[in-house]
Amino acid sequence: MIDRELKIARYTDGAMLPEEKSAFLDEVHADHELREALEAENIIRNIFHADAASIEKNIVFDTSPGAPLVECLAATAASSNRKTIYYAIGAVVLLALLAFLLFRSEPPAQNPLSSPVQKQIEQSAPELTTPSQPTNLSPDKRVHVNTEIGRGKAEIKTPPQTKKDIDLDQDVKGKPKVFTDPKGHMPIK
Amino acid sequence: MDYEKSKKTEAGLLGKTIVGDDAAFHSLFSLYNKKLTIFAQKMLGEREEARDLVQEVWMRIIELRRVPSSSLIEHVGAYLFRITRNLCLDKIRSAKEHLPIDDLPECDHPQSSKSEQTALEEIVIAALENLPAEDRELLVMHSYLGYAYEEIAEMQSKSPEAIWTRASRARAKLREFVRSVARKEGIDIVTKQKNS
Repeated sequence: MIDRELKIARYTDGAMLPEEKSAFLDEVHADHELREALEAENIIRNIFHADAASIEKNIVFDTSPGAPLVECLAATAASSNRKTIYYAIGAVVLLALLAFLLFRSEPPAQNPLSSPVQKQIEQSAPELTTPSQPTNLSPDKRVHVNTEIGRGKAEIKTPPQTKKDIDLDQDVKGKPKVFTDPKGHMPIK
Repeated sequence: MDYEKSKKTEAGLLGKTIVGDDAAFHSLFSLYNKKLTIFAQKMLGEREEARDLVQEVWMRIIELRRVPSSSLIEHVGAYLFRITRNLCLDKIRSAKEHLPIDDLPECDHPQSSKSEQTALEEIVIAALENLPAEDRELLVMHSYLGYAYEEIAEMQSKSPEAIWTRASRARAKLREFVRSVARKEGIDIVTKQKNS
């Protein structure tokens, strides 16, 4: 059955080789049923082709304004235009924001020496400098000022004092220290 | 090779259609509108209904613009025929449920446009319309639209052997129907074929 079907299909498709075709036609002449089947197949194919051509001839695409597809296309085109406008507005807003962020006027840089603590340091030790500035002072006399901008904190590092510099019996002016009792009546020797 | 190439081209057209390219949509429409209309008409047996149904298929394609992931569709032909087929089957089912074919108005009757056809043509076309939907769709795609069985197999995600077997049975059924009706009508199809 399948073999016969295959032969009929290959013959009507024109896919048979010449020798195969001649053998098949001999078979068709000998077998009336096969001949009838082949004729029926040919008729069916011809009718189908004619029918397809006739349908195709009558297919006219409806382009009238009320046609569903035309309406749908117009609607999506309008929606697409709206989208384009939204995207354009979005892009402009974004660009404006970027421009604002990039080119906005920067706040005046805070001078580290203008903080109250720093002013105090400046008044009390005008010779002090920051480490980055060249100085003629010997390293052990430099005062390192480390300021933290924005928080107003200042840390003053003084070089460590040597034993030579420290005299517990002298006050800051070099005079011998005088110790008094807590009531200040008499000096304690 | 050409088939693979055209598949890629069509997938590209669909991709462009989805992102809003109306020219790509027009190309796709020109490629498939007639095929889909013939297919729908042979499945439904009615011209106006087929035309409306195919418009609905195209509207669904346009609506894909709202679903960007649909650009992954690779076989556009298969996709379009699948939508058309499903819509046709829905229509056939609902027509069976709600509206007997004899209740259709005369102008909408499938047979009304066939007055110029010969008796044999009428028999063949009626025989096709009486086949089960699955067999009918196969024969329409092969005989009306010129798709090879291998292409149909790929479109329907089935093996070529399965499609070939089904098509053979459908053709044999159709031929048998034609021969039996012809005998009943006293038409000798061998002589008829020779004369025509």
